[in-house]
Amino acid sequence: MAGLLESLNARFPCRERQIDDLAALISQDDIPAPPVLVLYGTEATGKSTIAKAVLDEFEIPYAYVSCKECVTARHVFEKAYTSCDALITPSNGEDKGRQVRPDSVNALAGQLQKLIPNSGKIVLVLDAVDKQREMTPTMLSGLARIGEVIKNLTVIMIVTVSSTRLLNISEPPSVHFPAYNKEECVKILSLNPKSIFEVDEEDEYSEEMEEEDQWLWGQCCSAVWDIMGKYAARNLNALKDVVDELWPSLIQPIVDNEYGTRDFPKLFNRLKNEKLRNSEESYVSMQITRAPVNTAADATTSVPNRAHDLPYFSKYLLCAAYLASFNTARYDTRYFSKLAESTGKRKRVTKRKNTSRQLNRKHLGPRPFQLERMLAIFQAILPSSVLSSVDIGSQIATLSSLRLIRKVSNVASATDASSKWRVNVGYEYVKVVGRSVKFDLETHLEE
Amino acid sequence: MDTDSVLNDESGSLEHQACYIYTPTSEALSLSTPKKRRAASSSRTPRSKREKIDPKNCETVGGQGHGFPTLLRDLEDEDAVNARYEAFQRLWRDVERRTDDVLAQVNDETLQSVSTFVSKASQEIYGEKLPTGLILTGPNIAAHSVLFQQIETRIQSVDKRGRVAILTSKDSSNLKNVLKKIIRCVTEIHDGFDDEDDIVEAKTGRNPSRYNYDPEIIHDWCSTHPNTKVVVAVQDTEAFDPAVLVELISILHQYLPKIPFILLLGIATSEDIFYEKLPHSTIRLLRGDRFDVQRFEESMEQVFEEAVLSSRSVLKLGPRVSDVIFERQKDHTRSVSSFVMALKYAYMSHFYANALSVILGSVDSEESVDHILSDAHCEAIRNLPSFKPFVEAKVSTFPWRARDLLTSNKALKSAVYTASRECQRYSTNLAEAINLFRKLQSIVSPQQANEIPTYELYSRILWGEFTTRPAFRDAMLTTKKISSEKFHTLLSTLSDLPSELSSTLSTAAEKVQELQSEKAAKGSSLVSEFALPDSHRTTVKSGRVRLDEQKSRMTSQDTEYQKLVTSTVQQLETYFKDRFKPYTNLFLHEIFFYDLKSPHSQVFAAKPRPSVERALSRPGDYLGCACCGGNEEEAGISASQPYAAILYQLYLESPALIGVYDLWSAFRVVSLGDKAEDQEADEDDEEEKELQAQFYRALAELRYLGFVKYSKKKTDHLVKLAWKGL
Repeated sequence: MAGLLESLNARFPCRERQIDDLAALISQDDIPAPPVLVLYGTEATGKSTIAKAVLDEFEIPYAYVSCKECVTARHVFEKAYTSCDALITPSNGEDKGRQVRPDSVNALAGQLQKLIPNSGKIVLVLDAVDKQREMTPTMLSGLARIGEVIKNLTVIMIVTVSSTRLLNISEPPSVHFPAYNKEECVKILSLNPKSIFEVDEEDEYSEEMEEEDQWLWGQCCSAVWDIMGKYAARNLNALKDVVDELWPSLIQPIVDNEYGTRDFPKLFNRLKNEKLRNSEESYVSMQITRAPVNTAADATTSVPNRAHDLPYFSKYLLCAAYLASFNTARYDTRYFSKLAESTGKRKRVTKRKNTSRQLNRKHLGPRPFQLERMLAIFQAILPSSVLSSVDIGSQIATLSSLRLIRKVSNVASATDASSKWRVNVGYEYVKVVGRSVKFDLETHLEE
Repeated sequence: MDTDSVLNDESGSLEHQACYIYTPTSEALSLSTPKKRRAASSSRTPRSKREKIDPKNCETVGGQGHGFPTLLRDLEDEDAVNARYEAFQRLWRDVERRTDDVLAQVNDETLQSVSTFVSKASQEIYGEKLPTGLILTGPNIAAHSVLFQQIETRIQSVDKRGRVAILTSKDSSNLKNVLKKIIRCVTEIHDGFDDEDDIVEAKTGRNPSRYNYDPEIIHDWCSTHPNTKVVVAVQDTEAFDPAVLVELISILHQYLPKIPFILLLGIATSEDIFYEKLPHSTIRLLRGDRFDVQRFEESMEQVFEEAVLSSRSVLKLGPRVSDVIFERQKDHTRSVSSFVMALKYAYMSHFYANALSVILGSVDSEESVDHILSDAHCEAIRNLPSFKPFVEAKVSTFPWRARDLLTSNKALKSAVYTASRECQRYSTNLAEAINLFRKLQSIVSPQQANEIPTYELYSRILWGEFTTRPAFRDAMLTTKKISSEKFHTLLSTLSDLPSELSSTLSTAAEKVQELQSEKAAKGSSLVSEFALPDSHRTTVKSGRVRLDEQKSRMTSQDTEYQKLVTSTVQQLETYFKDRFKPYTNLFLHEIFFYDLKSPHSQVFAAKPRPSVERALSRPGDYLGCACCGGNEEEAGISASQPYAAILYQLYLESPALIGVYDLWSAFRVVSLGDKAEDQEADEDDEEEKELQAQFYRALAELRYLGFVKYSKKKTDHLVKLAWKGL
């Protein structure tokens, strides 16, 4: 027993308590296991991995269902049943006849009761059961009570947060997996450091090199945690992603023989200046198209991105839609009237408005407008008037299928003058679009 | 097809009417397809004098049922009509085939990179991340499905890398439907998808049967098809329900260890908008690359070169019509397929309505020109505007030739043949020179070349005014100023292009090379006077002093080089000026250049709303009767107008909320005129009753047209919905 625990602890550092608890709850041969067991904790805290590892290590038969993989509740029941079935009567490829498809918790409990023999422990692990897509109010508590119906079945539920409300059981035995702190993260990541030099088959991977790798990797992990632990690399997986991403550029100077392996401060400063200064933002937003490590060379040679352009009038239509969404209809004459006197008036009013404590319209989100109003603004902001034709209508349709503008009312016809619309893109995008046709959005926008 | 009786019934009386009321008989109703009507209207629209077509003359139609009318006051013989039709079919089919080839090539680069991405994507590279290709497709929606079809064929049939499931926003109602569609596309199983929770029976006995949305089906399928990838392509990511997309990505990611999924997302707007829409936790699951589709300008340019400039296209676009087409492209559509449509329409209307277009079909041999042209054709040719200057030019030099042209059809026919050769030579030379100029521009000032595409230069060049434009002069001036290395590359690139200058240019290039190597031996590079750096000194004199200094440092090689630059640029300029002559100088240019603006602007940019508004506010324009204020000054409201028109004009004057009673009293005053004041409203009066009925009818018509609706705020009030002129 102690030997098993030791090996588990060596494989999964910083989780001694959880492993102990789990082992105590389910691995005692003489004590019956609890009917339900809750493991909870945030993302990337080792819940599923440790549960599976402990069950494997103590050789307890278990069926594992990842609820994230399931589309509907019935899908979960089916998977739970078939995996238990496979566990108890391992099929040898022959047809088992008609398949059983429980379509409710009751049916599942009934079927499992028929299936599971009266002796021996069996565990059913329901991973991420709270992330199940088709959740009914009674489903979780129903699943939690299956273990009460069937004597030797234990249901392990893995969830993000635990509360008594969740399962409607007063106090189910539960194990908490807290998030790792910095030391723990670095320790775990240090289990498999990446190497600095490519190791060929012939070269000996010397102990010295291993030590260097270990040291540098640890330094790198903790430095990245210090910089980004608060936002981009909040959990172990995210931290690992970022470190993996940065590692090749960090060690490049060492490979090029510019720096030694112990010059970590210099190396990291260089990395910071090169990669992190401008693109720290991109690590936060986690862009998809950051080139993966192996194809980094290809990505740099690709042509810089040239934007695809919208047609000329579409740009004006989009500007008009933005203005219609963010200006109040009351002031339309002031902003779009082509009479000269309007400018004088505008100045006076804005002055008075500044004293009142109103939020900027921009921050309140777009409001719906009538199509006719947008068309009127469109005609007003165009440098030269254009007769409306089918082309304008089709451009409105295109903008709406690109979801740059969006219909909000349920009027049958999209081009009905009274249908309500709303702009669906932000200020920055529209500003760029306006600038490309030399239209100054700012002067027409309400303060 | 015997559809022509419809046309004939009405067309006889058409020419005197500004408008006619279409009252279909039962026979006509069954026959008048929209396509037919359009063809009929196009026969009326090109109403230029030179073609001498009259709606009256479109009476009988060629026997083969192609629907082409007999033109030239019915004097055109049947063979000529058929020849016109055949020429259209042949020439257009050729152009269409070539454009299709170009369009098939357009996406090739993108397809290539997507296919490499798909074949390379593996667990070693992307680890636990879902390999994702972002395809920046651009905002032209019509092209998207074509592109995704091409991707499907490429991956599925050409590369045989795996199966592709294309998803559109229509499938995005919920996750189950999306998964069902993917499964159906990948496994090609079609049973068991009709019902909500149907079961898909396994094909082989080994696998259990499953729910029809269970991705395990794909897993089973993959186990029988090793080394195949499953590509899920979302065609319009913007319109796809974001919630479903997030679910889909998480499911695909869950199954990634079992099934080699690859995700392709088509993005029409911009990456930023895409990133805004998805939560970070979802984006973290994806990793991949970005692919750009060729921009509209580039593909448009390629298609233009192939379809219009190429010497194989006999019919060219004239400057006016190309202005109309490309303005519409720039302002409204930005799609290559709509350009091809416009081009086809140009071909259609040219061959349909211009009797002389028959010449285009037989430009290759003199006999066939001779054979196909009848006396009526010859008469029509003599009436062409370009005939007069052509003969006048002949009068001074060869008076007998001029007389022959006027009197003898035979002489005219041979002149037609020569002129058609001449026209073709003109366009070939033009294409060549345009090509040369574009090349020059792209080397000398790449930025300008990017700004103005070829198809926008085209119309200016045809007018013959391009050589006076600043763009042309700039290009020539900068050519003088560029460095000698660049000048050498310029000369060698230009000499590779086929033109009459190529030999001159290549010798010049050799010369420059020679001088350059001589000068390089001395350790400096060739400089001409034009390429001297601009003086920063402020006074004219000091600048000149500096210039003199620099001049004095010039060697003999430099002087020689400078001479060479001057003469080459001079040669280029004369060459361009010679080639960029206005097309209107040519005899028969009316036949080889289609240049009618109105059919295109009418057919492609229909204006339903302004038309309705105009009809209601100025019914006289359409009715053409004297009573309805047909004359310009007096346009306004009057009792003689149709009731709906009266009501509409009152409607225009009213505020956003209209009281029905107010409208009625105004309507009554207008309709009854002076009588309204004399008599008080009398409910029982017959006239009054009828007027009221008319009022309600007119109101219902306005409502039907979408101008008003009943207000919920105030009883007996209407809400104004449409403003005039929007």
